[in-house]
Amino acid sequence: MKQVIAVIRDEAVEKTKHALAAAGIKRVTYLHVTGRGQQKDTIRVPDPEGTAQRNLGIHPLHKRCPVSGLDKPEEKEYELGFIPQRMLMIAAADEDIRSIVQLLINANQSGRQGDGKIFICPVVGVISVRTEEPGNLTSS
Amino acid sequence: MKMIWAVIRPESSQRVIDAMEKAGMSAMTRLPVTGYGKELGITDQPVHYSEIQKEILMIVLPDNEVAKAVMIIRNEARTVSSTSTDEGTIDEGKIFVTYVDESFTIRATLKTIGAPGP
Repeated sequence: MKQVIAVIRDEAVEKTKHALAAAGIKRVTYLHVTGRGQQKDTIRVPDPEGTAQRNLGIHPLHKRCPVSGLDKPEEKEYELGFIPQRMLMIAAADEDIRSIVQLLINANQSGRQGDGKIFICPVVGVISVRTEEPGNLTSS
Repeated sequence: MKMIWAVIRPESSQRVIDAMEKAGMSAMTRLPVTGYGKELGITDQPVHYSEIQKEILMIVLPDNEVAKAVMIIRNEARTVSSTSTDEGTIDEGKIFVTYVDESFTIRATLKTIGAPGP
């Protein structure tokens, strides 16, 4: 018995839900989390107000900027901190783990940085709250 | 590979995060949670608060970096300086270390056994 802990993009959750439902995996816990990876994520956004120039005392209306390198003030780079993500927890029998991981990868892979991570952790036991019976997750 | 679940005070989490980043371990997940320890919350007469806000930092690291990370979290999450002989206060948090069998990077589809990250 193992637990799959996956951290995925917020916007990929619906797709993942449908994929899991289609595969008959019904026992999933979703958590709202924030996270970041090992890479320093940055985002480039338009800078129409010319904040970078204003900080240097240059009026944004002066199209021809006297400082070199600021000829194109359209974009500004920001560093991303912790971004909202979703954590999935799925406990499953050992023989189901491979297919679940493959399913999560298929549903979430976009090839961009920040697609997420999947961790497989061992589970010592599981007890049903309703029946109080210690049990074993069977293959679905 | 190990997974660290550090339950710490929300106000000390930024200190821990900055210190971890300085040590080159910036990948982590944050979970806002509530909970209580063996003191069963805080009683400020006449009000009893049974659930205290906490934050969990979930960090997955290769085995050889776990001790260093635990040391950093412990030093930074304390309310007294790490060199002080003061015992600190209750509620500073707990650090749990659990096993991870395997890890996958979704973007790369590559199995990264033994090393998180690409």
